[in-house]
Amino acid sequence: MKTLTQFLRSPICLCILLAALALPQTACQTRGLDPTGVYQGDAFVYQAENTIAQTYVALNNFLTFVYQNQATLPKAILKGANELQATARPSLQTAANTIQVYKTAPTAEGKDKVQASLEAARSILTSINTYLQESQAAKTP
Amino acid sequence: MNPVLVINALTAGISLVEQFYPQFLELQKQGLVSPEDQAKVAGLVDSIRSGAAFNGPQWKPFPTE
Repeated sequence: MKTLTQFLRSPICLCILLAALALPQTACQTRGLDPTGVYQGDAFVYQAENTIAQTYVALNNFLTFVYQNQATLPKAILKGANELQATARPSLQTAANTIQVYKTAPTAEGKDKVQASLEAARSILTSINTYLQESQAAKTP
Repeated sequence: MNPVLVINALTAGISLVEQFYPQFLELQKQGLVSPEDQAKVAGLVDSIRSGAAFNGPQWKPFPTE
């Protein structure tokens, strides 16, 4: 009996009890997302929109860098930035609109369309990385 | 098996849970994406959708000639 008492007072037992109490709550919410937020625990929509937002931030930072250094950067980088401006804006807006359609009518087909539209975001990030490497190489003597 | 000892042990266990469970919930909540951060993402995506996010000078074509 003393052993049982010691076990019940032990940190391991406390952890087990806490985990058991937390399990129903955890099961009711999407992992990693506060369910009281605007996404209401919908991790798929959040992750899709967060991908769009993060891509925009990376692109905006890259274009700001180009804008601030346009006098010294090679013309190829400026042309690349212009291409990104022209293609990224419609791609990001299309992806955002596709997510909006999915939010109003979530279907398996709509989910596939969202995932396909996010490929454009990944492509933009790859292009930014390429241009950044080129601009770094251009600056290195 | 002494029932008094069992009840005492269970009471002690429940007391510990009552003491630490709110802290555990708070720690669990800290690991989640907060409503504020979710709102920031949603707001930025709304401005991308409307086109308002593309108004800065960095979004105008750069001269290449």
